[in-house]
Amino acid sequence: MTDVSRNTPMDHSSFEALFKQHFAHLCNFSKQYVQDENTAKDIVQKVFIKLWESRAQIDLNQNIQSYLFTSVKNRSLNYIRDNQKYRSRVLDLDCGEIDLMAETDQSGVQELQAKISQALASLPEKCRLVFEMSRFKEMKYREIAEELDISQKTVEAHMSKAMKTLRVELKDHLYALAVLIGWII
Amino acid sequence: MARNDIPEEILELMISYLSGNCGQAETTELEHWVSADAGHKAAFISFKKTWMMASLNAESNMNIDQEWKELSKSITSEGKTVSLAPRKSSRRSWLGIAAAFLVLTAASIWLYRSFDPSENIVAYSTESEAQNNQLPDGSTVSLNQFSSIRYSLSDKGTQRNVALEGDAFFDVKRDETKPFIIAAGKATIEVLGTSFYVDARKDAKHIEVIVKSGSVSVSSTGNKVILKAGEKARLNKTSGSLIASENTDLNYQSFTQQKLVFENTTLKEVVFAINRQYHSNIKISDPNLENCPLTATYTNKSLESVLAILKATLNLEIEQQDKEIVLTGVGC
Repeated sequence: MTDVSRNTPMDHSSFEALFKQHFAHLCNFSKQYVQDENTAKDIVQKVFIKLWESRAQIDLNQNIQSYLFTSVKNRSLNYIRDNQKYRSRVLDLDCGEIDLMAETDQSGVQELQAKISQALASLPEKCRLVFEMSRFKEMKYREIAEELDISQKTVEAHMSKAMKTLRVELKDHLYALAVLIGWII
Repeated sequence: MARNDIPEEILELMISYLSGNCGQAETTELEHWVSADAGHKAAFISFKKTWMMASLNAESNMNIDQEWKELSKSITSEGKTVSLAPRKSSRRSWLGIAAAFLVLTAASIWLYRSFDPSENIVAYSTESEAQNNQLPDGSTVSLNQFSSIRYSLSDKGTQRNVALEGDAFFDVKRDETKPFIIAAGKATIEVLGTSFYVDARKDAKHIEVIVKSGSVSVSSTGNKVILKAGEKARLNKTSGSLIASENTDLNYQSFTQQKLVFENTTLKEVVFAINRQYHSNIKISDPNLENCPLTATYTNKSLESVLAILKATLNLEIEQQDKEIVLTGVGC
């Protein structure tokens, strides 16, 4: 697909680069509100479509990252409002708005990812497996228990151990980032 | 905030909530803990952050190129968008809907009224038509289809007691000496004089109370909320959670006026309002449709014509499957 560039501030390839750079983080950001990954992906896709449609009005010098996060946030909030999907207003909204990307630069993210990998690798095999099934594959405790032929109590214990380890490993980042919460209006 | 302060059981609740394994009761428990103290809230936010950070590594699992391909399909170089992959749906006759509707309207109104000699007890019941009724105390109640109420004055005359099944709109005549108390499923609704709607349909997941004017107290097994005009309470029948919020439903009173108003309303809410009004069983087959916005006003329309207009406006397919009416379509 090529773009007939008519003095538009954003061409097709820079749009693609923008998409690839931010898509995953935006999905992660949206998921704190909408919970399921497919909904989050749909929301982020729609935001990019909108951005593409209005690219003539968008100044690339402006903070496009902040535009994207604000749009994703608004759409996510609209979604949960319209669908009454938030499970808890207190836990999803009042304690929401965590934007990891706004808080770390690219090198910080890599450092963070290395730390996370390290922390996960340090876990006993079963524990890491359970955590990854829950966190990355969005499997329910019941499903994990069935798949690994263990009890739900054991699943809970593994999850608890994994999260405790991560908290310890990531605590420096948590403090460093805390001051920056809520920069998106 | 001391990091080690989170009790073990709360930690497990947090993980369970964030990973989508919490039931309503557990969610409420966690809400209470988080709301109890600013330190608790900070602890939860920090924990949630750890949870979100952990997924930074999962991003490599996401197929960004595939996502980009998806998006590329829906944008063109002219800046116009084309709709995302349309879904084909099998086209079956929906004449069954019309038939079901005829049966519904043909059904006779069944209404009975029984008085005790002092007119202190009355009972009303409806089938396929909504009905306005006046109670002995001067209050009015509009009963939706398939609903019933029984009104009685307590022995000493100090309380107006109402038992409700189904859904109804109440306009209660003010009498501060005799509270008006409605028992609706697990909910108890108490007012002095005000107008409000109660939805206690047996097959609904929630009992809802929406206040039009005045204030209303809603309670259930130890929980209690006081609602003002424009507010709504929702009692989850399974978990028992009782949550108050601002009301956004424009159509709770619509059965009394034969009118449905939608202003940029999502299809999901539209279907909820239609099902409530017509006691129909319409389902949306595809989650992509749920958010499609509709702006329309239906006055004195049959279910059949409401569906026909809906079909044309949102480009839907409608099919009758057993007792359900199923909506499918390409989305918006």
